[in-house]
Amino acid sequence: MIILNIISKEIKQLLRDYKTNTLMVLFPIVLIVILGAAFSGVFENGVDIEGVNVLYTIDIEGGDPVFENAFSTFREYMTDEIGMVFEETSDVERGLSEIENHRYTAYLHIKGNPPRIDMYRNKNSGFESGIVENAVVSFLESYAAINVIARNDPAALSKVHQPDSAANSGYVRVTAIDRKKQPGSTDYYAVTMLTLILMYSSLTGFWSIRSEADAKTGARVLCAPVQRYQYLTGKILGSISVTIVQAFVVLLFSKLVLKANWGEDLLTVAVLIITYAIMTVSLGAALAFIFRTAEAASGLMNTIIPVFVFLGGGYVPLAVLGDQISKISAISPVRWINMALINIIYEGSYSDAYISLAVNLGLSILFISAAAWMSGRRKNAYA
Amino acid sequence: MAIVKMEQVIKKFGDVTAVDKVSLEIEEGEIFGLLGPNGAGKSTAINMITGLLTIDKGSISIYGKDVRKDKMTTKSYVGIVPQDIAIYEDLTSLENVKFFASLYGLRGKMLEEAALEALEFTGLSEKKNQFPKNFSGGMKRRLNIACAIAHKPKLIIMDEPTVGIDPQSRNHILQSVKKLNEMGSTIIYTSHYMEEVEEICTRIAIMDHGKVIALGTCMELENMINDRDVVVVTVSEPASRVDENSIREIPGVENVDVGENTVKITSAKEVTNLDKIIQYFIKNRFTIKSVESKTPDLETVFLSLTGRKLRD
Repeated sequence: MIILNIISKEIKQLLRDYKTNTLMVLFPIVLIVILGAAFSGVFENGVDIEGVNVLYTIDIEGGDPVFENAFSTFREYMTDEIGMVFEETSDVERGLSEIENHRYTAYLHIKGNPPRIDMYRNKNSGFESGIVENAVVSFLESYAAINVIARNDPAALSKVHQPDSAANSGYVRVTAIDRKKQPGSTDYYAVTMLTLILMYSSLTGFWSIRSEADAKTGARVLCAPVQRYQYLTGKILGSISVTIVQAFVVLLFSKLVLKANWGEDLLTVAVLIITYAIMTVSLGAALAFIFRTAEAASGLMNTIIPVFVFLGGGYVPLAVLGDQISKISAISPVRWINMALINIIYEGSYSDAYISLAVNLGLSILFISAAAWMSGRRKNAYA
Repeated sequence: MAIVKMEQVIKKFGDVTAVDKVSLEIEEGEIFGLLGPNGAGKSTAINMITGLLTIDKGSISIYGKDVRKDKMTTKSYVGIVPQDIAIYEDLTSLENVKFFASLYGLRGKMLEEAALEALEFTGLSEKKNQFPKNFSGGMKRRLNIACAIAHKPKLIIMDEPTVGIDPQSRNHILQSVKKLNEMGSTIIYTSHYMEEVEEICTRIAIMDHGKVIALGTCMELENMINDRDVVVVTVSEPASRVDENSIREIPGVENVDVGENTVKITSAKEVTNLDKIIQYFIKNRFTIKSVESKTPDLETVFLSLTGRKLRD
């Protein structure tokens, strides 16, 4: 009950801070609108399709002229129409190594008989390798159809070798060969500006603890029959609750008014955002105990937050920033939440969501433990 | 019956001993004064009673329960009025009082009634829905008290509750302290204003450098120095010109306390030195406005015991 009283008091205080609430809600919305408009051209033209380069090895036992012919047509089409660059290598080891070193968007190893394609994706080129994957899947679907036609009506084969004619001939309908579904600028910045402003919620956690120390109310609360853990839990949960409300106001506004795409799986999106909010508020709470002065802690946060957001692709997509930045970006929790949300929304892929969930919860536990430990040691943090 | 019992309590901060082997017994129904200058160890002693600071050595019990072993129980007996005003500026008066009272287990209608009663007691009923950020210093001090008494604690600890407020609010607070005591609360009152302590406290402990250097009723303490005379000389000029050492050289003079236009001189009773004191002022071209002989007060007691003024 004491924890509930503290949570309720905390929520009341935070919701009355109109200035901060307005900033936390309006700031990301304004940024979504401005950045969405400013970079709309960049996102509508795709993520540099011309930079998509694919390495491939044809390693079919005994050869398969029909498949090879079909693949050749596919390759030419993708080069001419989409702008992909294909390069052949007979060295499978090299292919794998180039992908590991992020030098190619994807590596296709065509092998076996009947032939199949093993595709290796460059992890740092999420959108582009997604395009290649989609194209390859479509090609294989087409080829399966072509194969059947070749066996039953070889005369018709000449018509379906050309993708355009294949699409129009009625034999094969290619529907997903073009660019994979990807975010527009408003969609992209709706995600990244929300995660950016949530990063600043660490200041909410920080001031929640710090203001009690400045106002001497923390010491007074602890003179009552209140355990330190009750006090800390109440404070952190109160801050998290308000932060989550702010986040959902931004999310709903961007979805309903700005028409940003948040995908179909809103539940998972919400869970990720909630765990991320828990992590950011806990970070602030921990820093409130670790640093002796408010200036030092807020100075640190105001320095690291923009860096984390930048490394998380908050301002510019990571694909644009190059390999080195992409590698460093692994240290930023913003990168994991951004990748997780975008992959859920646009690819239906959950692998990054699990990582982000683990990062958020792991860091939350770490920060809360640090805050609890430090609060026991630094009793004057309340007084 | 002793409500609070401190036995050989020691608290150190690094090399500094803030409270040094303090033993005290505070009886039920008392207004117990802790008097001493800033840094004497009063607040540290109080923070140990409330459980906010740990005790290095010795023991403290409230109603027979050890503050370390039964921390939550002993905390529930106490209402604390902290030295610094500790209220939430963004909660209304009523919300402030209700929040703090709720931490002591009050709920629902009982909580509402107790909070309103505390506001009534401190004269803030009409301000119950207002935010303290618009309050005067005195009103904030009164709200500070309301937050401590709503749960009707058996023991109320008031740590310098009148610092920095106008005489009217101070008077209101002192009357409130007396009323709370009449209503059955035992009160520990710390201050460095000896007039307040003299006015309301039934027993007083004088602290200096972490030790209790004197303990008793106001009269008992003043009797400790009944072998001394106090003379107050008022001059027209600023008294800062007075050379304290020259006066101290006059036979019998033990202490000299220089004010704005007054010089308070404590001398041993058996020595007659008034003529020499007056001669000093005449010789040094001061215009004497008055010379008063006073009975020793707590200030004089403190000065005699420590050689320092309370507000040094």
